[in-house]
Amino acid sequence: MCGPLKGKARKTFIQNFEMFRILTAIAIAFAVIAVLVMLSSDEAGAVTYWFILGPVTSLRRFGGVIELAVPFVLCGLSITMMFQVNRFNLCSDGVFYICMAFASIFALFLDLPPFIFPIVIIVLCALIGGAVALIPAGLEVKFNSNVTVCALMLNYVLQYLGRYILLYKVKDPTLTYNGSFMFPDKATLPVLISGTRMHAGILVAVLAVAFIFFLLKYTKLGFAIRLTGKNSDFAKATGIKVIPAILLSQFIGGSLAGIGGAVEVMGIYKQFRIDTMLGYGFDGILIAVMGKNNPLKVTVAAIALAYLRQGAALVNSYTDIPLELVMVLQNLVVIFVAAEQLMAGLKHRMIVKQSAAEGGVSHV
Amino acid sequence: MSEKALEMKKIVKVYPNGFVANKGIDFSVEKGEIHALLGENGAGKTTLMSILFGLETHEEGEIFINGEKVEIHNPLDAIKNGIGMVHQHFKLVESLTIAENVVLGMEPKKGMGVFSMEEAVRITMETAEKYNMPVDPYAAIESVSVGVRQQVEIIKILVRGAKILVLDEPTAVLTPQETQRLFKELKHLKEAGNTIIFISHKLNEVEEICDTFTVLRRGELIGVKKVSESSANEMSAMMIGHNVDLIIQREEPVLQQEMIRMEHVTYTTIFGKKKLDDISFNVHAGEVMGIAAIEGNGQNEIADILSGLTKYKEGSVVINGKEVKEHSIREMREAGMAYVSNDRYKFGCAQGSSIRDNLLADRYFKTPVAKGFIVQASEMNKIADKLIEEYDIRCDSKYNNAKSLSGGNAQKLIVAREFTNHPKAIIVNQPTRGIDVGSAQMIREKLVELSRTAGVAVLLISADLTELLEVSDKIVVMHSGEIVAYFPSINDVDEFKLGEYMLGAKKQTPEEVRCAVH
Repeated sequence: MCGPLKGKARKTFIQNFEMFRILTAIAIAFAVIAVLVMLSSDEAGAVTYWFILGPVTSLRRFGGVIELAVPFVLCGLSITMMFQVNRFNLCSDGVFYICMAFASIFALFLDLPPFIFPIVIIVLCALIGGAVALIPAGLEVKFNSNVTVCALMLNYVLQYLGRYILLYKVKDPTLTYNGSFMFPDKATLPVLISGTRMHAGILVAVLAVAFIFFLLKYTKLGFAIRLTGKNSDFAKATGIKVIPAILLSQFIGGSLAGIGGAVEVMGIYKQFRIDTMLGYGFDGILIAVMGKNNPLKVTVAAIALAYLRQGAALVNSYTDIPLELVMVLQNLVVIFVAAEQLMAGLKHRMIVKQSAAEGGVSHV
Repeated sequence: MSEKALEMKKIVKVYPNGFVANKGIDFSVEKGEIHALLGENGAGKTTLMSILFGLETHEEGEIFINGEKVEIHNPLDAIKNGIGMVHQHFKLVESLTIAENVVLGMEPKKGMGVFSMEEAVRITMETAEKYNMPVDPYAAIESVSVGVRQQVEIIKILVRGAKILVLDEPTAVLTPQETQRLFKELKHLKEAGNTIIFISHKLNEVEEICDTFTVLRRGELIGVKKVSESSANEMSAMMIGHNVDLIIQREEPVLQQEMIRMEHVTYTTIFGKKKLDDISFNVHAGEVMGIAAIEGNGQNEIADILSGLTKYKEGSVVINGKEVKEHSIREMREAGMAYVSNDRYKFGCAQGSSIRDNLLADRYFKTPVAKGFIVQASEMNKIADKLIEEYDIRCDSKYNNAKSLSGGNAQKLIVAREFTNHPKAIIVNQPTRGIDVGSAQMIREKLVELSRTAGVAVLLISADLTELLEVSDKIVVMHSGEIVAYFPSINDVDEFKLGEYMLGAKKQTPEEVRCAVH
């Protein structure tokens, strides 16, 4: 038998401990930050205030959190799908960027009725994103090349291809900066709550979370993908077609990053003016890992990271500490939370004690 | 004689997931005895021995060697205290010679850091001769048999000064002849004053070689007895908590239509090594055919071909009347094949997936589980609950990872899945290796039951000859990729006779072997 800490009791204990661990990690991170801030700034109080509470001090600032959470969620889900079958296909960042470029082409050169227009752009970008993600995955299947190396190289290709589109295909020559013509209104995503920039992309992100959750948990394809990821030899032995499962999960992962790019450029910028990659694809790795590849937890992780970023941005705007230190603060929190083994010893002692209390260990 | 070589007192081990593997176990071994440590899988034997060898840390308890308290934090401490362990899976470097393996990590030097082969050979031969284990120190490990490899492991720990030897299921990989030789060596070692802890599931071996036994069950000490004052039945009753009938009741098979037919199958690996050479046999619905062979003589290739994992080019395989050369694995399964792999954690289950998903892995895509492209959780739960109950898979929850299961329960999970998807033919490869008596017996009974009541054709590959003779209706013996003997009835054969063919010492005529197809 599996010991005395029976099913539910053990599960809730472990979940509670996980919560406790994360909160402790955050507390430690803030303690370290407090020391750093006091050493480098006269405005320790203000820094703490903006960093911790800043994002909820106004609707507009909180809107900033949600706006940022949209690409975070989509990129987190993208990486989640890649990781689902153990493929470290890290092309999401490049896909995100190239799909901003393609979205700008579609927005400027196609002409479709309102409402349908952004949906068509999103669908087209999803297909492009999926197809691009299949390049490293397919090369691995076909030629046994390293999917991660391939994907990272592909990111450069996508970045320069995106820049090429920006500079030679969609650039508005009257602008003093590198930017495309503004998109027609019907090719942008409407703002949902006035006074913020929270746009209809939020709905897309919510739909994506629901879709991936449902796909992984309740569909035949999801079952095949999960089993392939856990043990592909076993999946194969039970008759699952492993290669299609791998390729489909990569396609879906790429699509999500593609949707992310389209939504971001149509919702926030309404023109393509980013001449370098935003790094959201790589933030997606962090989010997927923190969210343990579970779509719902990924959403929480994405919002948490967006909150941290927003807090950091406010510290940067309203206090005297330099941007560099703000970045240090923000990433310290992440590092501590990601330290899974933090307090593992304490957890073990608590489990031993609890087992003893429940009468499992007879001689303690 | 009552001097204690080893005493472990009130050992408590709790794993990080809260599983209490040892609940205050007392274990003591007298100097110069062979002491059996018995228990089902998950009973805590391995954990206890891992603690002794410093591979696991214990929460509570003390260890005494020769009456002195010792602290063992890692295998080096264990070796320093004269404890040596022969693991089930040998830890040898295949490309090095026997002498080099023996001195690995303590290489003798002839000055300037140059390795001295002569000295290594001398060290090896000194111990080998002392305990009457004639090995060739210059032979590479990859060129010697499993039995010799085991001797090398034993020499290795003796050279390091071990006085207490722990042998984890040493006979699982040996033929009867090799087992007898090992027992002779163990007796030598005992006479020379060494103490041996013998972990095994084979109770007849315990009766033959051991002086005393200790039984563990679910992390607790059940009892310690002299072997001379006990019996195999009593041991198994102590191990599982109730009596088990170790004899399977078996009616004569009623042969129905031919289910598996392999004809002239030859299989060569991509490296050009011939693994199967002109194999022909058939199995009918309602009977159990056994394959006896020493590991690596082609039996796994047969299993892989019949499961669809390996594609064959030469010869033909007919399942239930259909040639399956072009079949995908799923098509093989849909044709009625079920497969229990010998590599349980590679091909038999996904340890990172839930117990439920593992149970449903071969049927999630069809009714009643699937509806359109949806898999219905309620149906999955229903089937999983039923299988967990029917096959007595011991777990906290079906949502836990398969990783949380003990070896025996993991195997029960695998057979629960493979035996219940309406198979017409089942390939089982080493179904009971390393698992406890209770689970093993249940699996054997199920195999006989499936053949007799459900009319399934069963192909059993096993290194456990007792099991093979108990379950099979007919037996083929394989040696280096060929069928070397066929016995249409198990009445004509015993373990020793099988052993002779398995070792390649004897071979039947092609005409006799040809009778395997009938």
